[in-house]
Amino acid sequence: MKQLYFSFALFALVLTSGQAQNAGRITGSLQSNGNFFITDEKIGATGTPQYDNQKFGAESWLALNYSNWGFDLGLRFDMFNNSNLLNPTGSFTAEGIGRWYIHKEIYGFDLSGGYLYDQIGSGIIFRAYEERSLMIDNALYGVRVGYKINDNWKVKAFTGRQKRQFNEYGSVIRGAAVDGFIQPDSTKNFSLAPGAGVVARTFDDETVNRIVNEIATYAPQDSTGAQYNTYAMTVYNTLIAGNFSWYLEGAYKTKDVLFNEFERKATGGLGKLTNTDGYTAYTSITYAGSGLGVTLEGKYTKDFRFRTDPFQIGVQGQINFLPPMARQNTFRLPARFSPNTQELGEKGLQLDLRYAVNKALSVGINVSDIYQLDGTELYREIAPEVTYKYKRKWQLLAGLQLLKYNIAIYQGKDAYVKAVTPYAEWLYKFTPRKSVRIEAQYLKTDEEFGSWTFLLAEIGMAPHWLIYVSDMYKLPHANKEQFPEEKTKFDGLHYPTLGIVYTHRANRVSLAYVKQVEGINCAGGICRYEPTFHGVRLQLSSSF
Amino acid sequence: MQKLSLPALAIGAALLFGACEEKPITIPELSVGERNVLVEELTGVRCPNCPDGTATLVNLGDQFGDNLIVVSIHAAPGYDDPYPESKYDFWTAKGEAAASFIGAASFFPTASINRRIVPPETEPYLPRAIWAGIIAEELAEDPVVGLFMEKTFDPSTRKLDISINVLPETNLSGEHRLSVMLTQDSIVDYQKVNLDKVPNYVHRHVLREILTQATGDVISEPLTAASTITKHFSITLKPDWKEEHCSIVAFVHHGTVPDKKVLQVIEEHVTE
Repeated sequence: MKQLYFSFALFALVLTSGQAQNAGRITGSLQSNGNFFITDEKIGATGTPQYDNQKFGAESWLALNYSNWGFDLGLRFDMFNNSNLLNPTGSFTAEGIGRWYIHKEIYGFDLSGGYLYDQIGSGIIFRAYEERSLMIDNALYGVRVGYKINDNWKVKAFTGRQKRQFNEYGSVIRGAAVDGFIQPDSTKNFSLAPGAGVVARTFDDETVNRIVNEIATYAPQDSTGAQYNTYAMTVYNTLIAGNFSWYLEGAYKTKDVLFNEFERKATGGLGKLTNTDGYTAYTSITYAGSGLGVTLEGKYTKDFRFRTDPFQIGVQGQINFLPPMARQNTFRLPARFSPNTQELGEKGLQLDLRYAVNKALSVGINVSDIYQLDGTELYREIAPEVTYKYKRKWQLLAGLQLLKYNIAIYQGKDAYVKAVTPYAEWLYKFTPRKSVRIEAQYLKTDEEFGSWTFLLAEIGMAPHWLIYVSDMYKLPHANKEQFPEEKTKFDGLHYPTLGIVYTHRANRVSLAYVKQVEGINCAGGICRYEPTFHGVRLQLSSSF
Repeated sequence: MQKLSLPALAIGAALLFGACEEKPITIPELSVGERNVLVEELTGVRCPNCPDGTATLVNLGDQFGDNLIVVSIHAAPGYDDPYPESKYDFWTAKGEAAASFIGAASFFPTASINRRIVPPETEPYLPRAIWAGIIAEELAEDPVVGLFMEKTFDPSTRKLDISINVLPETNLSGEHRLSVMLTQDSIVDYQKVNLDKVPNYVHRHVLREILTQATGDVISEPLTAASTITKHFSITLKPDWKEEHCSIVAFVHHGTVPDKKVLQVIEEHVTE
């Protein structure tokens, strides 16, 4: 509560003094979600507090930013009312100041304090960021000092603790990085952008006590040491030469107490703390020119889980971010089986190739292949795609996804899902402002719940209105009695959605009736389970 | 400013990350668990005095709790044939082989405690009067080996999969064996009790099957401190074995030299 008063007082003081002397600039944004839950036992929309009792859940973020006299100040009010965003099967209610910060540049120094978002390199050793759809808010609550050595080189150092909803984790994080830019000849398109960084995490006593108490239950065979401090260091560079761009990053982490959910304890039971060092390497080579765009990515990771607290699993408490080795599918059925980045070990390659044959026709293919370090295949996706534009009248996108997904590792079910998913999107413009968009998808598989279809029709009346209707349908099994009930429980069920969106400049309101099957929701390779949803969803977003 | 800043940054970095050496965190001394004691009662449906022994073991079970593990081997010579009216035959060839491996019994009720020979007895089968004292002595010892079990039971196929982890506390020399038994508790059937033939007697801890050799499977791997040896077993439960009353008993014991002593034993129910 003190923090709340302090933040408001500070903001009010700055605003009033700003008005008195020199008008500053105020920007802001609002995002609100409201979910009305309607029980539907047939599809499994039941058994959570929202379905059983609460009936309504909401989240909201209101951010205000003010700039004046070289200062930037920000304040964000966060609210969660019976929200299932933190725990998809639970309910979370809290509200307060979700973020505040002050930033000032002076004499080449860049000073920040408060809740800070930042990263080193691609985020492999440190990334403080926000992903609201997954309830990730890894802001660093601390200070950061940057210094611009010259036009091409800058350094920064920071220290603080990671945000945990309206609190902070106990462990202290500190780090530093240097970033440069080298261009030997400014007339040529050749440059280097090297960098290096180091991050240290120091466990607090309470976390260490929990680690010790856990290890104390192990047999000597599982005994593992522990330490307060872990250091992660990284070196990276982006080389640009003509049409090529090559990013390379390698990182090493000293011994760290990790929770390994795949290792068995000698005394029985899956999952135990281990104490091990780790490393990861990531590279991305891009060529763009003459209608051709190619990106080849590769990654090798061993024991590179880096958390503020080893007992935090899932999306909470992550200090770093490992780039995903699969594209983020936007269509409903191709996105159904998305791979979660494996922090404890994976090696993967991804190729993305796009070629514009002419102004009307372009083709592309995305190939992703990910393995565990022991050679077990985790994920393979081959997705050719073609786009055809007919003048400005209509556009057709057609693709095919060939998928192999290790659902045992990713979701703890069965073994592999092998799926073939053709999909198409057709956009037709009646006038420059009126259009219709049709999506059709068919996911064919014998695994998990079996095959699905999806159809969507969306009418756009720019710049204000968008109306859409869709249905995801679970095709019944031919011989239902031959399969266990778990596999056939959704057979023949429809998951319709009907929505309307109104947009006015930077303000958007949407209202939808939604029936959504359970699945995995991913963003940037960070995934989590999303239970079935049935209800009405109201969303509001606004920028000013 | 620029000239000053680089050394300042270097000093700052050194302060931030400092010396990487730190005082190690103290982890409490770990152990492979508590000592348990195995009692193998040699009995038979026609053994008139054996129920007195069983009653004593039930009382000792109340006294010592889960650390006391009992197996009733129906292989008492001359007493192990079922009655014509009996629903079940508890005798098994492997049970008889195990009983013979333990030693020769000359009085009833009798039971071996961790297969230990207690002078003046010359065989591991001990008289009822000294059971409690020997059990207490055995429980007071620290285990030199830990045993841990994981099992999965599929009710539709009745298949039971078992994994046993053997965790030596110290380096162990000589021959060691692992025995795994399946027992069933609370079976109602005929039993001779003194002079009476009781039709609804509740039989306790009845040995149903031995998943290893009757004399135990020799552990060929070296039993060194901090090593983990894992053994897997599978069995399909017979239709009349009620899984809710079945337990798995696993124990590590010496082969024959210098003795057949049981070093550690564990018991888990097939279903929780």
